[in-house]
Amino acid sequence: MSSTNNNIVALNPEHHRDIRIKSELIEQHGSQLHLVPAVLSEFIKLAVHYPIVITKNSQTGQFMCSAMLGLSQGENLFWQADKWNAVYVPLQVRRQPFFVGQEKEEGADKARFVLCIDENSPAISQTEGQALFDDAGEETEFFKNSRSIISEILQGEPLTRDFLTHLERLDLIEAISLDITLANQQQMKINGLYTISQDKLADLDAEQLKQLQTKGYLGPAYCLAHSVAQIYALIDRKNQQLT
Amino acid sequence: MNRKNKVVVLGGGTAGWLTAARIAAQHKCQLETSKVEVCLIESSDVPPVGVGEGTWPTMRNTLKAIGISETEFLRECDASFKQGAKFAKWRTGAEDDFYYHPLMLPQGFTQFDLTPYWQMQYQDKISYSNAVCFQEALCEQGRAPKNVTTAEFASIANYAYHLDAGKFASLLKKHCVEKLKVRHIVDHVVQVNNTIDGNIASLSSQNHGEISGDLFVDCSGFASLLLGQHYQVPFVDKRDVLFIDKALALHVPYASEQEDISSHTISTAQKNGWIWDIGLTSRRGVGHVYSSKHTSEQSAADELYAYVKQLNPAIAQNFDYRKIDIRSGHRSHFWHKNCVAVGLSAGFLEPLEASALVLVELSANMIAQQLPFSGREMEIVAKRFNETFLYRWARIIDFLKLHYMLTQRTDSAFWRDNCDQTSIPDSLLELLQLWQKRPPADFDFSSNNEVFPAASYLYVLYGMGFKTDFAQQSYLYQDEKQAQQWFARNQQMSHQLVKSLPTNRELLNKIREFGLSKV
Repeated sequence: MSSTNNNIVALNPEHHRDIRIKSELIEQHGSQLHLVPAVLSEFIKLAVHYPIVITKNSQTGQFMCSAMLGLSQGENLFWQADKWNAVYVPLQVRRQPFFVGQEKEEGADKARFVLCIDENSPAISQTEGQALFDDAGEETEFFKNSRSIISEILQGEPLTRDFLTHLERLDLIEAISLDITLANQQQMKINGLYTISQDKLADLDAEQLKQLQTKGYLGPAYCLAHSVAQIYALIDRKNQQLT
Repeated sequence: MNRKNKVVVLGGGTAGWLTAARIAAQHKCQLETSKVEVCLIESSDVPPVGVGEGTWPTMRNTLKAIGISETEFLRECDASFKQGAKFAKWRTGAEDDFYYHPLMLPQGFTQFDLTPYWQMQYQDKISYSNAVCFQEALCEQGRAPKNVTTAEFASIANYAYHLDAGKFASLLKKHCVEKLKVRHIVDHVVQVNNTIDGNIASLSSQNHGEISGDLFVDCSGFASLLLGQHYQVPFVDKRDVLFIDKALALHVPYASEQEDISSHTISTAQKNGWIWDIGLTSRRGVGHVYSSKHTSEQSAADELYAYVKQLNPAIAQNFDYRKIDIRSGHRSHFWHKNCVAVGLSAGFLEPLEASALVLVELSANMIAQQLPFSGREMEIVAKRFNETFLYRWARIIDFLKLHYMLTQRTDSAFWRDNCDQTSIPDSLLELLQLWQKRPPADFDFSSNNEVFPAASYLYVLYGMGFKTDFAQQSYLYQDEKQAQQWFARNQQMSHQLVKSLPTNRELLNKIREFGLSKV
C-alpha cells in the first residue's frame, strides 16, 4: 500500500485524539482510479459489479489482482455525481484514509506493521464526522471497523500472492487484449490485462484440481475467470456516459 | 522398423547438450511412445571454463522449444541481453569511429527502402543505423530491450543473449538429464566400430562397453573425433580469406556493481585483429583475436592490456590470459554415412558475428526435423544437409570478410592485406559490384537457408562508409515525403523508448529478484 502526494504519519492516539473522518468523503479517494488492488476474500462481492483482472506491478513485473473500474488511466466509471455508484466498494478504497506502513526498530530483524493515516486526506476534519477515539480514549466503532478492513487486506495480500503463484505454476494465466469500439466510434486498445484461461482451467487433471480446491483457490479462480464478462458492463457504462 | 532410432551424441560441450536437447525435446523422448532415444557420452563432466559468448535472437526460440524458462536461463548462465554489435575503429581507426549492426530491420524495410534517401541527404549528419533503427540509441544509453512486465522471450526491441558458455552447458545438461530423458554417460571412447557398409555401428568405451546407435552426432570439438579423425573428412582451410588464427581471452570484473552492462557486443578493431567485449551479469568476457602472420603474441597482449586497463584499472596487477588457437574453416562436408558433425568439429570462424551457436542451433534443428529414419532416407538427408550447410558457411565467410575489406585503414599490413582482391571470395565481389548501383535487397539472398538477411549487409556496408551511386536510378527515389515520415517515426521511437525502458543492469537485477512471467 503506497501513495504519492500524501502526508502519511503513524497513527498516534495522543496526537490524533481529536481527529474526525467524514465518512461520506472516504470513497472520493478512489474517484480517479481505473484499477484497485483486490484480495481473495472480496472476490465474490467484487464480481457483482467489476471485472477482476490480473495485472503486473510495473516495478517488479509480479502479478496482482485488481478490480477494474474504468477503461483508461484515471477513469472510474462508478464515480458519478460525486458518489460511488455500486453496492460494494473495494476494501482498498474503504480503508482510506488509513494505511499500513512498515517500521523497523534498530536492532530488530523484522519490520513490524504500523497503522498510519494520510493527514492530507479530504476526509479528515477537526470538527465534523466520525471520531476515532471516544471521551474515555477508547477506539470508536467507526475506527474498529476501519481497523478490521485494514486487517482483512493485510491477511489477504499474502494469500492473494500465493493464489497467483499457484495459477502461474499451473500455466493458467493468459493475456487479454481488448479492442473496443465505443458508441461514438472511438477505437480503444487495452493491453496489460491478464485473466485465467477458462479452457486451461477446464483441462486441469484431478490432482491439479484437488490442489487448488484444498488451498481454497478453486472458487476464487472461477470467480475471477467469470468476472471478466463484467468488462461488457464496463463498456456499457462508458457508452452511457458518452450519450 | 518399429524399434527406436538411437542417437548417440559424442561430446558434452554446448554443441553436444544443445543438440541432444533439441532432438530429445522435439521427439518427446520422455514418452514411452517416442520413436527416438538420445544418449550423450562425454569423457569428463567438468565443463570447460566458459568464454563469454554471444547468440542470435534464434536462441529465444531454441530455449522455448527445449522447455527452459528464460528466467532460469538468465539467472543460471549469468546471461544478459544483446541488441547487436558495435564496431569501433573498423572504418578509419579514429577514436570516434564506430557503427552498429543492430538486430532490428530498418524502419519500413519491407515496404520502403530508406537507404538511398539517407545517403543522398543525411549521411554527413547521422549514422545509417541511427537514422533507420532505434536500437543504436538504446545501446548507446545502456537500455534493456524490454521491461520487467514483458513476458518471457517477448521483446520490445529484438534481442539475443550474451552468456557464459560453461554455465550454459551445465544448465542444458541438467535439463537434458532431468526433464528430457537423455541418457548421460561419462566415459572415454577408445574405439569406433564400423558396419560392413562403412556406417558407425558403435563406440567402444572404457567402462560402459559398446554404445551402439543409428545416428552419431560428433560434438567432440576441435578434435572432430568421428568426422575428422575416424572418417578423415578433410578440413577446408579459410585462412586465405579470414586471417585471424589466435585468441587471447580473459575475464574482466566490473569496476563497480553499478557499472552498466552493455546490451551489445563491443568489437574494437586493433592493428592486427580486434577485441571482443561481452558483458555478462557477473563480469565481462574480453579477448583479442589476431593474425599471427601479422603480429606477435606480445604486441597482441599489449593491446589487450591497454584495452582492459581502461575498463578496470584494478586488473593491471594480475593481468593474465588464456591463449587459444583458431583454425578458420570447416570440413568439406558435415554429414558422412550415419555421422554428422555439429559445432567446432564441423568448423570454426572468428566470433565476429556470433555465428558459432547459431550454426549449432540450425544443425540441431535440421537433424531433429529429419528423425526418425526408418529406411535408406539418411543418404538423401545427408546430401541435403551438406548442401544447406556448405551454403551457410560460405555466406557467413562472405559476410565476415565484408567487415574487413571495406576498411579505409592502411596503418598495418593486416588491414591492407584484407583489402587485397585475391583474398575476397568471388561471390562477395560480385554482390559488391551490384551494390555499386543499388543497395542490397532481399532478392540478393533468395535461398531458403540464408543466415544473414539483406538488412545485415545494409548495416555493415553503410556503417563502413560504402558508397552506392544512386544517381543512375534517381528517378526511383522521389518519394521524399514518405522517407521523412519513416525517419521521423524512428526518431520519435528512439526518444520514447530511451525514456521508458530500464537500463540493462536494472532489468537484469529485477529479473534476478522477481523473475519474468510466462505470459
